[in-house]
Amino acid sequence: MAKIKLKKHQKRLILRNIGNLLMLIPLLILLYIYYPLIFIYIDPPVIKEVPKKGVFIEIPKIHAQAPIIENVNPWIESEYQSKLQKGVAHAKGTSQIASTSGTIFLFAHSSDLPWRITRQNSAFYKIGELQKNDKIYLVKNGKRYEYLVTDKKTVWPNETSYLKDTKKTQLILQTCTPIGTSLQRLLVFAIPTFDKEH
Amino acid sequence: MSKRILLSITLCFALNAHIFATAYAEEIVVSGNGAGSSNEVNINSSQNTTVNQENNAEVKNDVESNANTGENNANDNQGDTTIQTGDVSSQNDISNNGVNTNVAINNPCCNTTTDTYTIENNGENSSNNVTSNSSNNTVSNQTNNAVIKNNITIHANTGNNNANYNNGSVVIKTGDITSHIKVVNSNINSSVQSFSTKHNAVMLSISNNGAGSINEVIYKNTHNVVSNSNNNALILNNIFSNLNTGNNNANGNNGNVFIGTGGILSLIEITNEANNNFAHADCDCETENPNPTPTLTPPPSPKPCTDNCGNSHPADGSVGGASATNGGDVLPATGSYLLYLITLASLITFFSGWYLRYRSGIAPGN
Repeated sequence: MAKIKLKKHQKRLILRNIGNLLMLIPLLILLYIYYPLIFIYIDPPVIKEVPKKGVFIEIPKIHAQAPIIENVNPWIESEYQSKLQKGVAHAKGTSQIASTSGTIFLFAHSSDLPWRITRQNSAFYKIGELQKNDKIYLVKNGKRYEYLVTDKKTVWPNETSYLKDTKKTQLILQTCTPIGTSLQRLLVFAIPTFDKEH
Repeated sequence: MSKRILLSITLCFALNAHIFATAYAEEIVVSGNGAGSSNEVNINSSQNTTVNQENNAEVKNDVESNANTGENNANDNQGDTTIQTGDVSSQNDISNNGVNTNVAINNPCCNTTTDTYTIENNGENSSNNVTSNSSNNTVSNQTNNAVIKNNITIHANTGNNNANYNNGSVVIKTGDITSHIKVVNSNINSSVQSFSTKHNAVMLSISNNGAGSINEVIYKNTHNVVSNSNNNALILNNIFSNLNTGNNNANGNNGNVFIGTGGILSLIEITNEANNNFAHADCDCETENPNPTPTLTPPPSPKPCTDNCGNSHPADGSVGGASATNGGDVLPATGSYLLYLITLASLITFFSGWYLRYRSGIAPGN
């Protein structure tokens, strides 16, 4: 009788330890996944001085700073996905960075694959927090170009007119929303404040 | 030496293979029939069009270039000896452009007309029926097979010089070699298919018929387009480049020996651009081009928005193709559902563990 009781006790101990393990592992995974995102709030990245060469975007309000990869084809997913790992993509076919006319269209991850989330490739994680008159800077070869946020919209993926119609002079930032999905697209619109003859 | 081969082989250019599925206008009028009459019009029309295009091309280019200013000997001389070889510059180009192109176009958008069905001025208690069934089915099959072999063999030598057993000083100076090989295989296997799916406009009018009359118009029009493109390209670029400025010997000489070997600059460029498909099933008169080129880059076809949703297109040089339909393209997909899925899986695992931990029949600490 005592032997049976001991066996049952041992079995329960094993089950309890498996339970402990099953609770611990997902907690560690969640910590690993969300740590970079949580860290953006705990210790916001400091905007540093960028190199004299190259193109960058800076959004002081959300502490975002990332290099811009120019002329990325927005219609070829295999092409832009690889570029998005390195920074913010500038859509090929839209106006060049710091251009004084036409639409500049930039897009970046709000969240990437969990093991690839970094501050750089999730630069637009917080652009939903931008409000009217918030500042966005594009930096090209050391020269800064200021834009002011005018509006933001959430649109469906098939509303491509924002990407195709590039006549209006503006800057559009795009990322996916809600965070962690590609269900809809969040667009932030901004206009240049610098003189056209800069 | 420069050799440029511009091939346009088997240019089975069924260009403007217009499949004239012409849109005819129909005008049916049921009018002026007496009271109590029964009038019925049935129209059944069916048009089936099948287009099969197949191109097979085999291209072989063999280029061999030999240039030698070396292999000089100066042995057993009493005075000073100098061997100086000249420079070699080699330029070899192969260009294969526009091999296998299929074009099938049926885009009569601008010629669409209006079908008119009118039932009017018929008497009381008359029965007037018009039934129109029409179908238009188009199947287009395009196949391109290309085998391209480019063989380039370059030998260039300014070295292999010997100056042995001379009494004076020896100077061997070999020339530079510059070699530029350029192979361009472009527009290999191109398929262009453009079909309209636009229907004729329809105008139905039932008016001024007598009391108690029964008037009916049944109109059914289907338009199906199936386009298949199959492009196979086998491109082999075999380049053998043997460039030498060295292997110089100066042995058994009494004086000073100087051997200076020339530099080698070798540049090989290979461009392969093959298998371009362009399928367009839409009605776009403004951009209709009677001679479309396969270099069009239409927006990609739509995909359901799931993980990493968006458009999948191979890069240039492999298979660049697209099938555009109405409003098919989407804004870049910059999110990943995997974050949610892993979170969900983690939570499920956590609660499973919690259940085992606290429901295993043993309290913590026991």
